[in-house]
Amino acid sequence: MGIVLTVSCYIASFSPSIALFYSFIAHDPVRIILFFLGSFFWLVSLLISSLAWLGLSTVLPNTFLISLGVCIVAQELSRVAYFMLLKKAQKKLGNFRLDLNPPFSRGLNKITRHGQISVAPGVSDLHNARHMLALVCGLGMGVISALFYTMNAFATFAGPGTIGLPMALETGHIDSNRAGKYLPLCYVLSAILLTLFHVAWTIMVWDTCHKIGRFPTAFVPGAAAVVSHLFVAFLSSLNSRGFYILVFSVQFLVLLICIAYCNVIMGGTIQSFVTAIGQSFVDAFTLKQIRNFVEERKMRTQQRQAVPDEPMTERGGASDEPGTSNTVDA
Amino acid sequence: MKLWIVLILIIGGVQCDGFSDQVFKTLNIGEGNACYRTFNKTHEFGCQATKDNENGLIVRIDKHEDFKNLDSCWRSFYPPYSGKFWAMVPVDLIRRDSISMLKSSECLAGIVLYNSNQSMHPDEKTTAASHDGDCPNAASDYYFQNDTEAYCERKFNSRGSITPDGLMRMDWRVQMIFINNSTDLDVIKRCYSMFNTPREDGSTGYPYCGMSFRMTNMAAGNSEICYRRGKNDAKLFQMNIDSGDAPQLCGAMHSDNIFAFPTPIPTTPFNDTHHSSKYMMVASRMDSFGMIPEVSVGEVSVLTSIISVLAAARSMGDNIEKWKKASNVSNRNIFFSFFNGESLDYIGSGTTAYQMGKGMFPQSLREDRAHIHPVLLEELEYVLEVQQVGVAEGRKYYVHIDGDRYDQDRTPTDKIMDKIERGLRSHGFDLEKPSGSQRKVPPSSWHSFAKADSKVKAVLIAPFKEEYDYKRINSILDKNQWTSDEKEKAVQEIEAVATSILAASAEYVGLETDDVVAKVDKKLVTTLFECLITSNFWFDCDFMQKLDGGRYHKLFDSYGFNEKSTYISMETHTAFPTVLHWLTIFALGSDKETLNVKSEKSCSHLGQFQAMYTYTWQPSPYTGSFSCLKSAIVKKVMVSPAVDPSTPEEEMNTRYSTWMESVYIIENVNLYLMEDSSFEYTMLIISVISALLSMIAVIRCSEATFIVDEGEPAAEGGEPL
Repeated sequence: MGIVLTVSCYIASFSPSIALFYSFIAHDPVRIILFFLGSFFWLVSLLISSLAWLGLSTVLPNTFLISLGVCIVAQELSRVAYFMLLKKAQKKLGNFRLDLNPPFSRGLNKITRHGQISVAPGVSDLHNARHMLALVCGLGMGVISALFYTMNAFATFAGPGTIGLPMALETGHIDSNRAGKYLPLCYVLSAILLTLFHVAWTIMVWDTCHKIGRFPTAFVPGAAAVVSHLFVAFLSSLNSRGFYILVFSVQFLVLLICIAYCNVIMGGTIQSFVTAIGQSFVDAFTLKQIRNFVEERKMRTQQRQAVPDEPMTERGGASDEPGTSNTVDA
Repeated sequence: MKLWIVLILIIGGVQCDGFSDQVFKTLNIGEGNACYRTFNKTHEFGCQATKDNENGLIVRIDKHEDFKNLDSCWRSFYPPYSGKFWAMVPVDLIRRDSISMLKSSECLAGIVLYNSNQSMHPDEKTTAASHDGDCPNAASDYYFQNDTEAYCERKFNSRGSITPDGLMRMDWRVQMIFINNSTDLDVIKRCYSMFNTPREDGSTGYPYCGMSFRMTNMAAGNSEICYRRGKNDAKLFQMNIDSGDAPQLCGAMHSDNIFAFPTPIPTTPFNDTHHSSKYMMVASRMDSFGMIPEVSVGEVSVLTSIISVLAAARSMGDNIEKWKKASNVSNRNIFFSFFNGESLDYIGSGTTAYQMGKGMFPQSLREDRAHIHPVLLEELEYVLEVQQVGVAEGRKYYVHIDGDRYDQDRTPTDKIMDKIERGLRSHGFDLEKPSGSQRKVPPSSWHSFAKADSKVKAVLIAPFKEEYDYKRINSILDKNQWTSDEKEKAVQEIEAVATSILAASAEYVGLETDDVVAKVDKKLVTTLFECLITSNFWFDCDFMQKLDGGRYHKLFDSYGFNEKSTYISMETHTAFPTVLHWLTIFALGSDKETLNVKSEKSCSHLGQFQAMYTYTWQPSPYTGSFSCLKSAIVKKVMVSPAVDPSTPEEEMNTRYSTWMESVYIIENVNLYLMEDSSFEYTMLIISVISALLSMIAVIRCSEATFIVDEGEPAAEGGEPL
């Protein structure tokens, strides 16, 4: 083992997260804050789970299953709590007025006006963005959970040894189901799955939170998230018995189902999801993205040569004329 | 607020082991159990951890034939593995024919030494196993420094030494640890047998059992460099601003020396320079070393001789009035010296000679009060030393003297030798007196005094003539397995030597040697033999436990404090000086004048402002009851003048010992499973594929993928949730 392995593991584990972060979060300061707030909420849930485990282990002899259940419930509750906090922020805070000195804000959602450039430079439009917020916050939770899951193991991989000796010396034989040299790969796959699952579960739970009280079937996405979370955790516990390939296959299938369901929540259909996946493979083989990227670069270059750019602050700056102000009154 | 405090306390109380408890089986290696760096003026010796010798696969070398695997680096056993190895080697396999293979191997990370469980084969006693060189303390030899002899001309230890320069004087590329704890040793053996033992067809495969260990020394180079770098002005920028201390890099080896004066030294005014007394010093050394310096029991190197001197001292203490009377009449005194650091170029005796030369022995002069008359070099007539008692082949002893000094005045020395002969013969041992080529003194404390004064005479009683018969001097293996016959003979030898010491001393002070004066307590000798040699630790036997009386506490996680060790070290962290101090007080202390003292506090008050006497609240090893013992015993820490900052004029003077020891940081031994590292590159490819797939997948999505107009008025108005 060595440092190359650890770096490889980190790259492989967090590539999807980094790609998502770069595409949807990095350019927007509000989303960055929400991303890290998501991480914080997951950490709080971990703290509560740990305290519960500590308390339970002093009373009960075997607390694994109970602690696992408590941990999952705590995570889902933290998702709900995060939603409620954002809802509160959306409602209770007020307008954002640039005509006042200092500028005054009255609401997270009022930073932008639909179809116009943001009054806060770099902040994206929040209109109709509940699924985008769920993605951002869920990714924050997913990344921190994957990081907590893997970092000790990856640090160990940088050293000379791998997991298993103390147990082997105790029992007198090496666990035949241990992953052996493939253990890093198992951790990588688990980390990728965990991150994407958290995104999907957040979209699902927040959909329930959004619709609860308005639709009789609003609880379904939330319930599906909790059930799939419990199921995936149970599957993970089977890893120690050596069913790695089976466990990862089933978990991947569950992830696909969750993503498809999220697609349905976001207005798509199963048919469109399957079509999109098929198209993805076709595009990948025909290098469509690369061709698009090159063409886009060409167009941008031509546009820049035609119209000189102006600072965004000037375009979005305060104006004394009421009709032209970017300020939105509540 | 209270809730918060409770919450914080709960969180603070949670302890996490991290992941290491699933990866590593950790074995605690205490201070002194690993090979570290030592220095003399010109060289560095010992071991140092590097990136290359930290980790390795565990292999076993159980018999001599296994050493041949060092050449092939065990490739036939572990073909997929290309790293280094930690070899488990029983100490008794460290021999002349194996040491060069260990030293030259390119594939060793380190050596795990342990004591073999098998009882010692009679042949093994005759195998060379001394970790000292051919010529112990050759650089400090009087004859060499006086240009009357070439360096290492007389090879006293050539029959016993494993290497000509000695194992402690080797600069190892590998690391070395000694494991004495049987549980820890079993864990390593078990790890080896589970994962590294070749199968029936001779093959092996991953996972392997590996081991890591790191011992980092703070100093490098030699004593001179270390000494210079250790000065505060050289470490100005490393100094702690708050405490004003600079971190220590290395330290001079030093420890307690014990001097006992059965007959009082005259008390004189400060300005009195009249020299009237003469002295015979009965000396024995307290220290030995091993391949890993601190792992050294020193049975024959040290303990048997010390028991004989102690037995003589006890006998003298029992008849002290007769001895005092004779000393007063003749103005000749006997005193006992137990020197520390003698195996490392005479640290103790060299410093004592230096202090005698300066008039500072046994105490520095003080103007404000009457002081004991200093023992000066010119007052020291004889150094009577005993060595290697208890291992004589047959029943013959030898006395060694310096021919030149003997020739100046033969008669007194002849009389002393006659008495020694009579003492030995009374117990059935012969003495061969020096003749011809034998008129040079073997390595002994006398050399320090001979260099300082041209008249000090040597009388060395030892069971060897021109070469040591005992082949385990200064060795980890200086630990015999005595049969009852051997033990009985050793006790007889100790008794005989003690008698001859008494007889020689009596002759010197002018006391008539009779059955009372020269009678040695055989029971005491047997008891001390059991307690100091046969027992596993100093305080295991009833005699020593009573002598301890609850005063000794094991301190730190140090080899010296927890195991029998007679190594000197740079810190006084071995129990032996304390043990010997108490035994000397027992031997020569008296409570005749202090019978009315009933408490420790009153006893310690008696000792205040005393120039000569000390009062010690100590139990009797026979009854366990405490009493206040009056004695003239000095326990004195001595640092070689060559490395003592308070003697800058002698800095790095090769006349004195320059041995120093590095400060080191010792880590635990970790055992772990090694996996095939070829998978690293597979994972690198997987990571690149993962990154590419992620980019391809995400690039298809845009903001519009997740921002969906669901026709909700609030969402349209900017309230998405």
